[in-house]
Amino acid sequence: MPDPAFEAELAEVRASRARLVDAADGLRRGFERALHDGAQQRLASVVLALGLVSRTLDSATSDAAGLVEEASAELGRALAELRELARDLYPVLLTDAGLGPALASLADRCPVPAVVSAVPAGRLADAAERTCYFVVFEALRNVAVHSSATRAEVVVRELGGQVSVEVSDDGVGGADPNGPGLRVLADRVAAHGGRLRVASERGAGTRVTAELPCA
Amino acid sequence: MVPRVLIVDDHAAFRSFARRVLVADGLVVVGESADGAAAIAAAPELRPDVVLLDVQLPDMDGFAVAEALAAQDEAPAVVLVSSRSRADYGSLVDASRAVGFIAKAALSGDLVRRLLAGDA
Repeated sequence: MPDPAFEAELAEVRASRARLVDAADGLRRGFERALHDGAQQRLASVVLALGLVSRTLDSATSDAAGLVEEASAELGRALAELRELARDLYPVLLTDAGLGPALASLADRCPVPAVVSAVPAGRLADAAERTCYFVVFEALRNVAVHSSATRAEVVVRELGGQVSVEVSDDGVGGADPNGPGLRVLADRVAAHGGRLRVASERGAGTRVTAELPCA
Repeated sequence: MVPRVLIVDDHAAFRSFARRVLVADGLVVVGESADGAAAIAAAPELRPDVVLLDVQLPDMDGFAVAEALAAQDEAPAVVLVSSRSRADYGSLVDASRAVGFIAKAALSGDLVRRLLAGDA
């Protein structure tokens, strides 16, 4: 016979687990926004300022011209690194446009050719979109780093209040579901009432699948 | 033709540097707005050829501002700018009414001219 106190405690633990993930994602989103609104804006202005300075210097007679050029190039690299860091923290495209465009952008940037074969047309609940996004983000990162695959495919389907997301590749397989990346991913999916499965027999590619409620 | 530009961005420092870069490159800056509503109100009065439009404004996003500007009589061309990269906005840029996108650090009068001419 179920113990009501135990059931209540379990429900609270489940809810608090979801809240922890939501809070962490909120922080990531906030950091991205702060980088964009702050340092990235200011550094872009500095790049323009250095460009204006270099117009006033004659490179034939001034050492400063070369220094300004070097500083601009270095600043450009710093800006590119900041942009990448910000994007990995939280993709503005997911907030502004939803899962389809955000996953298309992830697939475009994957060094292994990747396609998004199916994705729900409409917006899903915020938590479901985030979870699906980070499943694909982590799975494609594994594809790029570990799989030696020649191609990868992403499929997201919504059916009856559930969403399933699957990332498969034709690589070497052998992924460890208890490795740090996939373990944390499984926890993230479970926190929103879902389940992550990893099929990765050696020599037979890898298939990462998550199913979770999306209502 | 010397393009007449309206700069729309909530960061005053960026507006100031952008103005100086564009003027140094021979363009005419007809005005500055700090948000979307101000830009939509200013455009019919200032009659810019091109609106340099930050994607993320305090009151509305740049894509919505671009829509509103496109609906005006003698609508100006819109060039989106951001400190994010074009890839960060993915398909949203292609789907928008803008003629192009410029990362803020890459802003130049030449690039604005080329986008207006449709060859960048």
